[in-house]
Amino acid sequence: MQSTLTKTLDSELFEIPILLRGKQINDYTDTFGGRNGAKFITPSAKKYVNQISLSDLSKMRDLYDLSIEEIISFLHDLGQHLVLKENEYLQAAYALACEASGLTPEVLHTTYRSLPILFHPSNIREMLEKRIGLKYLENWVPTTMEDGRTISIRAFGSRTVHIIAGNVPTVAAASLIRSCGTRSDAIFKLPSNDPLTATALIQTMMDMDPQHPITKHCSVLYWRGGDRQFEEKFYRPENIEKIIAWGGFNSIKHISQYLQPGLDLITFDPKISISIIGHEAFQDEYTLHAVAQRAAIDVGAFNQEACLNSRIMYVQSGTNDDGINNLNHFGKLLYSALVNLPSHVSTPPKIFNESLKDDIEGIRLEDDFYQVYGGKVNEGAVIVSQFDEPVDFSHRLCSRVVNLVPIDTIDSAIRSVNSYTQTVGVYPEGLKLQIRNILPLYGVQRVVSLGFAASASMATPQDAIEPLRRMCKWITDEKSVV
Amino acid sequence: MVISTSKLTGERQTKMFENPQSLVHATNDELFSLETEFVNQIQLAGAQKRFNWFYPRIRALKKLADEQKISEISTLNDLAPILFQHTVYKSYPLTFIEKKKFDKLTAWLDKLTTHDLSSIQTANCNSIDSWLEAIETQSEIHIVHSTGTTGKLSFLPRSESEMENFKNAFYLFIEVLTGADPHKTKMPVFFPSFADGRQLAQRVLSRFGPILAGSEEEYHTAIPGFLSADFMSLAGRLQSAKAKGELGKLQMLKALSYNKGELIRLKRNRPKYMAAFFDNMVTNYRGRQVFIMGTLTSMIDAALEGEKQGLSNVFASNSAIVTGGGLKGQTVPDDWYERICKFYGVQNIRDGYGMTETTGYCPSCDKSHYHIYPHFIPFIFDNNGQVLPRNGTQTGRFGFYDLLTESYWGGFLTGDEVTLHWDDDQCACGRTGPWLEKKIQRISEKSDGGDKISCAGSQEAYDTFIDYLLDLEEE
Repeated sequence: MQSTLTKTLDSELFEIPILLRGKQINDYTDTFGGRNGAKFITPSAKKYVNQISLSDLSKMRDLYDLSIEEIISFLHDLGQHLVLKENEYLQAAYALACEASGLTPEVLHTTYRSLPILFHPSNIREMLEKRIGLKYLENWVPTTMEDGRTISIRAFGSRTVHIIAGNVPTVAAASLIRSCGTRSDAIFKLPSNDPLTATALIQTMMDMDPQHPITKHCSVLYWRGGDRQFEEKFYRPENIEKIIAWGGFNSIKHISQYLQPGLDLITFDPKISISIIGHEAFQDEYTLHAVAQRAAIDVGAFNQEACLNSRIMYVQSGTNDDGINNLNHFGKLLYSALVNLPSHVSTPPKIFNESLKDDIEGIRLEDDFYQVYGGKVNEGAVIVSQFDEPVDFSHRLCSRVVNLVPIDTIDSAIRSVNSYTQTVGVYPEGLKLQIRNILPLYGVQRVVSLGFAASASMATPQDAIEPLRRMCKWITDEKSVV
Repeated sequence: MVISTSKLTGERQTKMFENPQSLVHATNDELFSLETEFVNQIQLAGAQKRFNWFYPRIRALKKLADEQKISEISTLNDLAPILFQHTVYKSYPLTFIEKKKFDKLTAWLDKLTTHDLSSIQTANCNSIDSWLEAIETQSEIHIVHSTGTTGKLSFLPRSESEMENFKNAFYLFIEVLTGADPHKTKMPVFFPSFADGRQLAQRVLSRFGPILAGSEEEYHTAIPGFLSADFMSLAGRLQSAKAKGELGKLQMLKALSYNKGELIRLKRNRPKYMAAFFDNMVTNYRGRQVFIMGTLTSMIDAALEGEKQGLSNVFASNSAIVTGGGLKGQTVPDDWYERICKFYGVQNIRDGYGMTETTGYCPSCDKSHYHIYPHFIPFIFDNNGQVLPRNGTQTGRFGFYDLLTESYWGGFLTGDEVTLHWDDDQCACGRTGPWLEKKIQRISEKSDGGDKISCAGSQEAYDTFIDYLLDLEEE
């Protein structure tokens, strides 16, 4: 396997080709700088704007010559080729991610190494069966209606653009699996913080079989998000049917101006996640240690770069002196657990956000209101509020920094969540059962057992929607009795 | 002691060792001709005295110094680990203001000042303004605050003698910018803002503006009344609620701000006040030497408005136009600098570098460099927080120790990245001492672009989101 994704050593410039339906375009003209220093050069997206989308709709037919099992099998083969130590494309993606990503090389390494698991047939089959139903993807599924008619329903793929997040490389792989599994035509727009993973996946596919229908329906390129000249020509219903966009409000707001009938937008907004820990954690020292260990994983996995990482933990320690002392003790245990997480799970982050660091140093001298454990260098920190409010900069918590907030009743924690709250990790399980019917009313989208926030599955709804179902076009065949 | 070959007598040199406050009684000529070694010795002697005096008096400093194991100052660099973060004087929980827990806010400030605030009564306080007033009437300190653009107001306590130091430092600054000694040359002063308030620039101008002008009549402000700290805090809290996506709180704060009749009146009357101020300036003071101090954007707005009325070269060419604050992201014409010079009729627009925490400001010279007075001990830190050598040209985070503070610890680590030239690289204007290049950047705003997309929430994303909501509501 020969990599074309070479880093030209003299200029420190990574070359990122456009991959268009099995063909590679290499006329590099446009240079971009990654936020953390990595620079890359790509062919001009504008130059190829008329060739990117699938103009002849009959070309979608070849996807229906494949059974879902054949698609799953192709993806499985692809997964078998995604072995980091053998695949040069993936190695190049890893090398660039080490520069462009907020994640550290150790954590990235774990993520890249686990890619083949995502492509395992049982995982893909489970996702398609549980979220859509395989029979709807394979056949017309008849149901008899009250009036005697037979309505047959089948899920068809659509022509999609995926604007993927780059904070964790898994997003590129999961997006690819979702689009292939739904028989969609997919164009991936690369993010500047992970400009190569999706490219490496599709390039591997091209090496396997450039003429395979799946390969012919996968394209990947980079353009600067918000490039109006390109996007005005590209985001049109004659080119695409659905935009699946991750990202901040800026980019979504920008994309939404191109929406019109015939062009659907599925968004994954930026989210934050929290934890709620009941008084049961304090029943004995052994339990408290175990809770701290679980809490540490929810903070530290992916180095707190992901939406599902906990940033604020409401702890029912009580707010009297004893309660605060207990919480400070828990803070120390959590800090110790956090910094001792194994390096393939979590490491000190690459960059300790400067504004956050300034804010932490500002409150460090205020021990009446806050106790700060750690954070002197970049190892992470636990900030324990000494009264029942999060720090004023709670929206900036990252780089393995978590804020513990003492509460007397669970109600105070529930009142603090909103529609930006994705995951709530809860301890103990009994408390979770009590509050799982209430949290969604305030906006929460995912409730998990404390310690399992990061073990997300592709086979679940995401951010309170069913993205796989929405990526499909649900077509009916209505047979009436004359 | 090194005997300096500068323009100072031996007696005055000795005085500088004994009391750094005498630095602001020297002239600009003297201060910018001092030898490096001499300044280092004054600074070290001063820093030693100040640290020994502050250490038992400010609890937060004691905590920091103990943690850093600094018990005495043997070299200037011993100050580096005990500079306060620029966030320290705004490290109070915002909820104390929201829930009107002014006793707790007082307890917070008490740990950061040499003055004993433990007996301050705040039971009758229902606003920040009333809290600040309670402290001022029950103690010997004044409190100035920042503009709070980053979300919270910083509160800096200053005694009467510190205000006097400030005045002297400010006069030195003005003299560099105008070339005229403000003790002797009086000229009409224009300040396009409120008549009074506790925000630093506001307080400085309302105290010293009439003195610079020579009389109350020749000191002109645009908006009658007092710039309320509560209004500024409200703006900061709106920002904070925006940043955190707290829609409920945002609506509450918006309602609170709209319900303030004064704010609405001000919004309605502001254009009228500004127009009257402008008319008075260009009609009654044409061709005269004047002193105008304001934000850069307000200067540009005024110049563009003046151009529309066909005005140019409005004032005498020896007038002083002094600004600060930068462009704040405002879109301005490319040739804005030439155009404002032409409108006001001056050769150049001068500015300074400083902050709420500093005694006076660093003036820019005609080479557009900011010169640092010897009462500031500057430090440059690398990305890892290590102090860079005190020679050559160094780029990094700016820190300083201000020898003239008495009520608060004068050491601060700023959030600014600067390029500093030490004494061995003297500025072409002839002034000795360290100087800063014009380009000063907030470290938090450093970014090289790119469309980094993340599933994790960020402040920026929310900001724009709420801006969007607000736009919708105001349409």
